[in-house]
Amino acid sequence: MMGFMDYISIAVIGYFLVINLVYLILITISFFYIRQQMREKNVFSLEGLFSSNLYNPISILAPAYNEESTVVASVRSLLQLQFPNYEVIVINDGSKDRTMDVLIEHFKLKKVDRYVPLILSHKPIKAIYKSELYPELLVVDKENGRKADALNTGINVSRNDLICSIDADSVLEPKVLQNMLKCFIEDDTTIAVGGIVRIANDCVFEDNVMKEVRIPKSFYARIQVVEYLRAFLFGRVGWDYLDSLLIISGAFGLFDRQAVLKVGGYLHDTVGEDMELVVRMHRYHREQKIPYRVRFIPEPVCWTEVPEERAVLARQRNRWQRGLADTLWRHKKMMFNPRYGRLGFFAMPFFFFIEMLGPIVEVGGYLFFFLSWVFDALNMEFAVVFLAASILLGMVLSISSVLCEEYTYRRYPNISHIFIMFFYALIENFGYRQMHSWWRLMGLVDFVKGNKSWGEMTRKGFGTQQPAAAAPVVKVAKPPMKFPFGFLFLALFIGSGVAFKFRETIWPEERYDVEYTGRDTLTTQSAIRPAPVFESMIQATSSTPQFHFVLGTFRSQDNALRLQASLGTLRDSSNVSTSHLTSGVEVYRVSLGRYDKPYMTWRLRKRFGFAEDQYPDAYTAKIE
Amino acid sequence: MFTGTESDAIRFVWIIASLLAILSLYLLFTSVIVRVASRYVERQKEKRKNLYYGFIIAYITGERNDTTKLEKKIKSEFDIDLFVEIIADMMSQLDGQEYPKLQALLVLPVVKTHFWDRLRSRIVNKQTEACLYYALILDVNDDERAYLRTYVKSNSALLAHSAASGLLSSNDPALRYEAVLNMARKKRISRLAMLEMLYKFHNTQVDQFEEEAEFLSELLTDTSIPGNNIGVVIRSIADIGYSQLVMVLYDFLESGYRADEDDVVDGLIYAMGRFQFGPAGDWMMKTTVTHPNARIRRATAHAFEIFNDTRYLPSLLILAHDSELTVRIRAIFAMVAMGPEGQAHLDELSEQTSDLQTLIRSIRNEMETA
Amino acid sequence: MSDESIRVLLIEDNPGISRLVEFKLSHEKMKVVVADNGITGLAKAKELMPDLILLDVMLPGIGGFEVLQAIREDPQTKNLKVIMLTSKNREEDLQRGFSMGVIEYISKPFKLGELMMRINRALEK
Repeated sequence: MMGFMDYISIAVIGYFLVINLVYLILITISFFYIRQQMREKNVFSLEGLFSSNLYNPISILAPAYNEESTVVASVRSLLQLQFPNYEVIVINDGSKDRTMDVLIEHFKLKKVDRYVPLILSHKPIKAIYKSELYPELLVVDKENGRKADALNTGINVSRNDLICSIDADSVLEPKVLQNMLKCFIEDDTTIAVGGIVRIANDCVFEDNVMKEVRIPKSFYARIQVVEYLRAFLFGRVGWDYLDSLLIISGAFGLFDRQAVLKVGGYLHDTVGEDMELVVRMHRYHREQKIPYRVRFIPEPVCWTEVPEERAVLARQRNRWQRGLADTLWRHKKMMFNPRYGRLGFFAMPFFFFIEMLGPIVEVGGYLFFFLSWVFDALNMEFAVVFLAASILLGMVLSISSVLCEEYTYRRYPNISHIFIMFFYALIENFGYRQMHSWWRLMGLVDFVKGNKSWGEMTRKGFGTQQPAAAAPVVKVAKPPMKFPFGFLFLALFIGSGVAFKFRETIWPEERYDVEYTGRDTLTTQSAIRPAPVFESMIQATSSTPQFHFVLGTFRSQDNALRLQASLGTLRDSSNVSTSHLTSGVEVYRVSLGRYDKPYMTWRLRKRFGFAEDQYPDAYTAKIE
Repeated sequence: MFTGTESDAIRFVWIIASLLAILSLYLLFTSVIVRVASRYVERQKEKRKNLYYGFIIAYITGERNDTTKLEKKIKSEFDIDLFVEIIADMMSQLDGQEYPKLQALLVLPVVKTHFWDRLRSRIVNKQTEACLYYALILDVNDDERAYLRTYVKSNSALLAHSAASGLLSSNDPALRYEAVLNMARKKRISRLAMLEMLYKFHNTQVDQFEEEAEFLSELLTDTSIPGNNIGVVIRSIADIGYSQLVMVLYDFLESGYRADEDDVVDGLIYAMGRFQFGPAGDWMMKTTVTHPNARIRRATAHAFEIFNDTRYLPSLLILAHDSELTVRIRAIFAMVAMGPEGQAHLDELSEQTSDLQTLIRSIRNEMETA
Repeated sequence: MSDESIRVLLIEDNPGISRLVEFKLSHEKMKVVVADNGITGLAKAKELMPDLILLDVMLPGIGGFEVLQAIREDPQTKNLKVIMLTSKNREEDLQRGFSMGVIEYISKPFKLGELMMRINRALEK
């Protein structure tokens, strides 16, 4: 008979197998695809193109919000790309600090008039400036909106064919535009291209250009190095190959301006505007039956600072999860819809079941394991091996991305870096992974809560108000200490579970066991009159020559003796005795369920310090 | 967990776990090996580079004319790739009498035979590399050309593009024409790639303007070329400045050659503007001002802007009231550029609606500050 | 003056070109120092006070124009002669360069002979 628990176990294992199969497929594809792409470099020399007047260059859109200390360096790094004729549009999103003054001072900005068609709506522009030092630099000063709002402004201001959205705190590789433009030349129908984002923490920059790549020092950043490698080298490359890339990181993406305008630009009222835009572009082109391509190139293009503090990281992941859920919810129509081809049948379900529901399953799995342990329904060995397998699989994924990096780009200079990444790929599974799942779960919870309030708000017509998380390029600031209710709750929960599990050790009671050793089949059901205190009656049917078990455990000696007496009259050959336990542990609970393995029983006994000779019969019986 | 088959399940997971453990150790091990190997390769590369730089510089400055010693140093595929990479890099920076000397180094027998082998290989990547090599050198023999010709027709965009580059480096315009023609016939070729081709078609070293123009006019009448590519061809003709083709283009426009294809018409209007061809302006006043496609109306406004002639003001006034915003903007830009007379019309216009007023004011300001 | 050789600072990131120019100049009995990025270039300019600086516009890190601006802002290096090498052949660049006191302007791809001629002419000024 399969019980409820068995179904759950099968579901967990099935889910585990499916996920890993998908990952394995993605890995294999990615590995070969990256190698192929590595060989394809430098086919287009582009000299002819760049000398043409007909070629409309690229606008880089960089939103900035309260960045007075870093804005000059970031803008200067943007002006250093190796690419002829591109334009940098910095959008000051109503900063409250001196960002604008610093820009004006350093780049000798001068107010200009420029006609900006209001194709996409956004908060009003205060002024547009042009630099006297760099003719390619344009600065737009506007009222505060959100990142999406700032980017929409930039799209309106730009007059070029391609736009490139970046986070103001990322540093681009000098050859990035050239590499990305390749995709647009290869195929005219390309509408968006993404690239690999790498982690810049603790790397050495010399005047805004990567001088030396280093592994970050802090724990969280190191873990994210491995995480990013895995996500970009495997996830996205594989999706690109399958032509169903749904995410282009907000930190860097190159888009066809017309295509973005056609779908209406970035959405203001979502936290995941980068993913949402790409999905919407997919959807639009599929619905209109326009051929298109969304590409990802596995070339490292952009270096960005990642949060090193737990709270900030938690907030980021929470936001990502909310963004993911929001995007999938908005475009739920695409799920399993033949109209959207493999997007609907493969990519969307993957993101829904694995990326979005992943944390629920994972946290649920931990809960399930814990509860089965508390209620003695856990097969320890299975649990341990299963856990080991899943951890190892995660490691294999991470390490193969490290290896892939070794085969291709080799941006990390030392051999020791491999070991560091290997080590972090291992310890990532203990603690961080669980925490990460928890953050993402909380993100989902917030989404479900927040989604309702959005619904109400849209009806009232306040569509664009959503709290803090979405301010453009949130500066890393320590959030105020809150009383850790969540943690307290978790501790209480685990504590009570553990207490329940070891209740008999913690609160020992005098108990009397009625044991049976003999050769006969025995039906005890009718024999046991007085209700047992702890364990219910046991039905034993066995044909083994001799067996031994506990018939019942009682609080009072009288009851035990009564049972013994009633049994004693049944058969001559039976040998029923009572033993007095001062501190009862269910060593002798011969339940016919999951604990009937002698091995396990022996282990338990050993653990709680019963000597073998105390129960010689029992021991022999078990071994048989 | 499974009653009955429990131990099987555990065994299964055990096997998976141990396989994975072995695999991750193997991966770690390989990573380290790859790293050590690549270190070694890097070091070798640096050494070789220094060696080659010495030779190359000595050769092009005339210090040394004998290449036998250099040839002995180029042995493996690795050496050849490195050597070609260095020279290609220098070729992109140098001009004048050093350029042919670098080219001469590229056709050293050992290098040339190697790329000839690659050209004949079956692997697309190798073929592509070989094609790019032939784009750098001048003396390509007939056998090699035959290969390049077939590769131009390839379905792989990269191979076709590089084979075309290989042919386009030639000084024979007929050969270059063939490459461009084959590329232009492709439906999926991008606008940017097509532009690149046409700019390479134009020989900047030797003056072959007349022959090129002749070939281009042939290209224009080829009906097997899709309209979007013809549009790019026309635009680049105007941009590079083959003014001898202006009558041909005007005839196309007037006679309605491929008039149902917007890319073609758009390109023709652009060309008329670039060549400042007056008669076309009059024709456009009559026809394309009311064209159903906004893109073409916009192109018309742009052409009027380039003509910079006040007799187009009536048409521009119509375009300034266009239903499409981009057309209105272009028309107003054109009128601002036309000086006092255009400005007077604009003043009139801005009194009509406040919407137009703000549009005109901001465009005016922009033109003044620019 | 004759025994004191002329010092030229070459700020250029392309190794082929810098080696070539270095070779050519040292044949003309000039002392050449090469810097492959803007920062070291600036530091060397201050340290050596060369007779001539050959400056590439496209440099990794701080670009050619910023190097030039820094050279002009420092009173010590203010009057150094600068020749700019550029692959960007844009008019605005030309204007910007000349307004910042560049004596000669050579666009890439360049002829070696022409470069030598311009160097000599700049040194005579």
